[in-house]
Amino acid sequence: MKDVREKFRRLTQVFDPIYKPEEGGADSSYVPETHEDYRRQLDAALDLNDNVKLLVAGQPGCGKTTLLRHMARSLRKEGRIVAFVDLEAYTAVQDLDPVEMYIAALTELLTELDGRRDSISAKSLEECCSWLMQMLGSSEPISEPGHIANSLRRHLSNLRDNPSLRYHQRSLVSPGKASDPFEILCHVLSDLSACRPVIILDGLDKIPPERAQKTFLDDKKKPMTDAPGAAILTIPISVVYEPTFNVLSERYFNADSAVLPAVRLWEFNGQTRTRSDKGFSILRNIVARRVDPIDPNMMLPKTVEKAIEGSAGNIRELARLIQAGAVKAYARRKTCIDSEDIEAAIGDQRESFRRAYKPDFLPLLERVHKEYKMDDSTEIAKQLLYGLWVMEYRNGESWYSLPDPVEQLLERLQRNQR
Amino acid sequence: MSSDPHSLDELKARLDLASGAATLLAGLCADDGVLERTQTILAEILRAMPLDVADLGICRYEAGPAQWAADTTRIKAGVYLMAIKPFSKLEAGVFARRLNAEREHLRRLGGPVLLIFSQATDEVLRNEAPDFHTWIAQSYVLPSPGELEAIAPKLGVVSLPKKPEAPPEDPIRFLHISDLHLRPGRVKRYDQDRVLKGLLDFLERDRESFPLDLILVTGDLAQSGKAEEYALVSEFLSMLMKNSSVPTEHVFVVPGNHDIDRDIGRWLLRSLGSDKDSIEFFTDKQNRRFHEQKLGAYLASMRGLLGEHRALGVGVGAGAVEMVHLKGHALAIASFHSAWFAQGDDDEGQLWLGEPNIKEALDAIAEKKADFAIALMHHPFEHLSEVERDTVESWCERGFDLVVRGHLHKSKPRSLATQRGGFVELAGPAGYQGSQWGNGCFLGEIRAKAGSIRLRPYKYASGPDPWVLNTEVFPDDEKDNYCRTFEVPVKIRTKSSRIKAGGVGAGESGKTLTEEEKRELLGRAQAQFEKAERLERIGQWDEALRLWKEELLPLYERLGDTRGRAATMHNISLIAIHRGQDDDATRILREDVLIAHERLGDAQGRAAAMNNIAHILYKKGRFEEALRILREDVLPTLERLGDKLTQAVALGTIAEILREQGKLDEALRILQQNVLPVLERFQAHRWTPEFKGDIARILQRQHRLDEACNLLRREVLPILANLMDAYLLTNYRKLLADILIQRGHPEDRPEAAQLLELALKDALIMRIPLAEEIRTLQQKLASTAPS
Repeated sequence: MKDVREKFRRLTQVFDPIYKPEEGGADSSYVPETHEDYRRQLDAALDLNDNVKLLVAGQPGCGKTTLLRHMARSLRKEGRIVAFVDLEAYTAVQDLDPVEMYIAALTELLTELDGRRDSISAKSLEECCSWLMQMLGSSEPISEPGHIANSLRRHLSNLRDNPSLRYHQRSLVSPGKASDPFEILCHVLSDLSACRPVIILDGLDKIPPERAQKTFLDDKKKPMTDAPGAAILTIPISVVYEPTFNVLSERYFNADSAVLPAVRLWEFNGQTRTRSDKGFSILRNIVARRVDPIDPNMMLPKTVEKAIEGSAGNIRELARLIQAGAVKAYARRKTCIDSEDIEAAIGDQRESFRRAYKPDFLPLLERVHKEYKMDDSTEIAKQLLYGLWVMEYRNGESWYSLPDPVEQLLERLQRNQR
Repeated sequence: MSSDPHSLDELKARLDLASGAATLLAGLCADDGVLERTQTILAEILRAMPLDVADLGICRYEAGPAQWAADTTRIKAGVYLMAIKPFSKLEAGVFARRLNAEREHLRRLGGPVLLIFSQATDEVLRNEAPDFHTWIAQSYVLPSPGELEAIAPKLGVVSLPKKPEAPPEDPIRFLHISDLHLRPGRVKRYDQDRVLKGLLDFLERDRESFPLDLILVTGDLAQSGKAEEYALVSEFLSMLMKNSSVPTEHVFVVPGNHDIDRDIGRWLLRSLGSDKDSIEFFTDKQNRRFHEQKLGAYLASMRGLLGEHRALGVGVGAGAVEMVHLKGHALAIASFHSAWFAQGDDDEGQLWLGEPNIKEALDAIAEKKADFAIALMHHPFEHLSEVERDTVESWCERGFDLVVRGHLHKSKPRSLATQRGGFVELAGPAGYQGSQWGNGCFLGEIRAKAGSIRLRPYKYASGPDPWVLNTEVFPDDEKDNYCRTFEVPVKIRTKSSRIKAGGVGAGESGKTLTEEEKRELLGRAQAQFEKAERLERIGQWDEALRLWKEELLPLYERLGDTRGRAATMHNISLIAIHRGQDDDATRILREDVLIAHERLGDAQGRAAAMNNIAHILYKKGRFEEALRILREDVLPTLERLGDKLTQAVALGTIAEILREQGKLDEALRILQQNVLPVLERFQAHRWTPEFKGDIARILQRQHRLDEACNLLRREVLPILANLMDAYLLTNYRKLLADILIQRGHPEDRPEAAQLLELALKDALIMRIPLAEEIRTLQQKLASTAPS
């Protein structure tokens, strides 16, 4: 038996909002059922059409990256070539231009090819190589995809760290010409068509809203739409709430909405909501995957239930509540977390919302509270969705609900008004 | 704001559990003023817990989670504290967006990081960095520093670090008197003596507790500039120096309008008409010789009393500046004569201090590395000619810490902080204007290091000790014995830009040159630089380029003058831009200019270079990128530097881009509301026609052809012709011709033809691509000739 402090220590770690479950390892805490319906749609689309392009958006903390990483793993198992492009690691996302995005995709794709170099044509390799020579002014020809990928990676990290270099690089690229990394990416992808390549661009949701709007809604050329092969792009949720999003979504092939919703804790029939055992069981499962390896007795079922209700189905919020509960229990010298600690954590969150509260939120919050509905295109609505004041669900159509801390705050506000 | 008494217990428990793990916490303070103190005490409280605390200080504007990850990996500790200070609005947005974008790096933190920031910053982060905000595990509302100090001993803190207190600075003490109006043979001679004798007695009594270092006298010593009056002045000042033991070289006097002999001035030039006149008057001593004669009696007397070679207001530029070394400080005192053109009751608006006079004085002050600068003058700025009033005042804001004046017989001390710096202005009352009126003076303490001036106002009152503390000047400062301390606005004194290009920065590596050689080379570089800029302006680009490349670059090389080199390369890149050699221009800007400015830490120079990069990008149709550079890089930098003028120019570039994007109304709005008013305010006449020309382009697009024509004809082309700006002139001549052709009035044809001919001539000399467009227009004009 480990001592109590150590147990609480590990609990606070696995429930930190920035905690990222280890991939594939024995203690993987990924629960495949989490976004079962949504994932099934993505899987089907990828299976039916080798050139499908898909979008994934969602409120902060709903599990986009986790889902995509797991999809990448299972697609690789099927023998497909998957380039998972972590744009945050490769580029200055706040100032992302398609030029860097495509260089990053090419880099990741070539890395995947190391050891499978037969699948790419000599011509495409030659193109990569001469592009590098042109951009870096180097004279040594390189022919191994892995080596090219390394050089590209170095180039990307220079671009990431130096704005003036970025502007210069962009000025050297003429769209559609040999200098355009997108063209090279397309050639490599079409060489690989037999391996049914998939490019996953993760991190596009982190580009600033103004720029996101330009990238996805203004430009005639949408990211990746004209490339061969399949692609999945994470996009900022703000884009989805723009009125022109419908036009955009026609260029991509999501069968249903691009929005990855919060885990549904309730079924909704348009009027009333009823508790969804399935939703609760998924979240219970997620909690158990993290708690059980430490000590299953650290949280009683009633406590877990309380935390799930308080999270309204957002996984990051659920983690936050349990972590805060763990801290409170430890501070009060308890040996496990009980409902009281979770209650206190919900209270803290309520106060945190109170600090950020503005009177013009009230009508929208009241409407969600009463009718589970909201006009999601106004600026305030976007602010509420982004700040997790309001949770978005989808079964059939989208509906909204307030998480417990906000419910509590609303109740107090209304009481004070009276 | 209330804080939860348990929050510290919980914070302690959390940090204990989190040690070594990547997690982000927030500690919220009520306001930004208490950030640093909170951080210090909190660090001690956490250390007493005990925790291994690394205080990372304040987060730099350029840093973000990536940097935090690196720092927390490098420095080993159980918990890291860092404060986020408020930035300006524009900067805060950029900073918050970076936090949002880099949040993935939080996973690489070496341990728990507790960010301390204010509620206001919290709101910015919530709005601008929503995802980042959801990654904060918990926000704690922190107790106030006072509460923290109170609970610290209970939490085991033995002693709190005191706010480091420097030993009290020994101030430089001065007396300011003004407007004595002394005259002989008056019935009131008795009265005059009583007031001034009283002052002398008072100063003598006060000598122990307030030993004076300086005496400042700001004009109207006499009544009508006559020798017999100065006998009294001289007598009084000698007594003053004797009683206060201030040596003559620490007494500074400037003349006022009553120190000039109006009988002599009757036939002299009444005022100046323009900046050009001002340059001639203030740069050539010969041009001032008659006006100086009006001060004959004043000068004879004061030189006799204070020394032959004193500035006394008649010294101009560097000649106005005298240095005083006191208590470890180098004080520069500039004595200005605001009454060169004083002659009667209608002086207001006719007076000139001379922009070249002030600028050169400031250059001398910068060169002498003064750490405090005082300007003496008689009149308030409002009495100067409106042609130079704002410019002169703005130069003073850049360089002077204290401006001392008289004239209005009213105590009016104030502190003026502006985007350029600013100064404390001390307007003194009359030293003597008859005992029934208010007579007064100021005693002051200058703390150059702390950047403050404490003022003690005195007035004459009848009674056995007639000079008493005047409680009416600072009625609210009872606590400080009716004295008030003014903060001196912070400023950076540099030499003016033109000279800077050739001058400052020299000697960085030119060690093998002797001082004399260096001076000689610098002089040559400066002359050549000015010549090249003149050639550039009039369109002689090949010759300008030759000078820059063949003469100046090697000169700067020898001098090791990085700044001069950067300025030269910048100019070369501008010609490349105008000639459409965008790649060359980009390369020069990126490889030479940007890097040089970054190395010199010259944010302003860097912003100017980025502005030009944006220009190139937009010419290539890369509008969004150009806009982003301007909005997210250039403007925030300039905002931080408080450089409103260059900000206006950058906004002008934004307007140009918007115009090209077809957003005409927005472009017009920016030019009319944000650009032109600022240029007017700063009297930046050189820039105005360019942006008015831009408005004309927009009007053309909106088919408001008559308005566009009028604007170009009346407000753009004549001024450009005056400035002899060949490049802009060519562009706008072509534009006007284009509009005239478009309007299609037959009577406009000769004008259009002539404009095109002139424009083509210059375009060919400058070798710019515009020449082709001009030729096309000429053909168009010919083809539409009425049969």
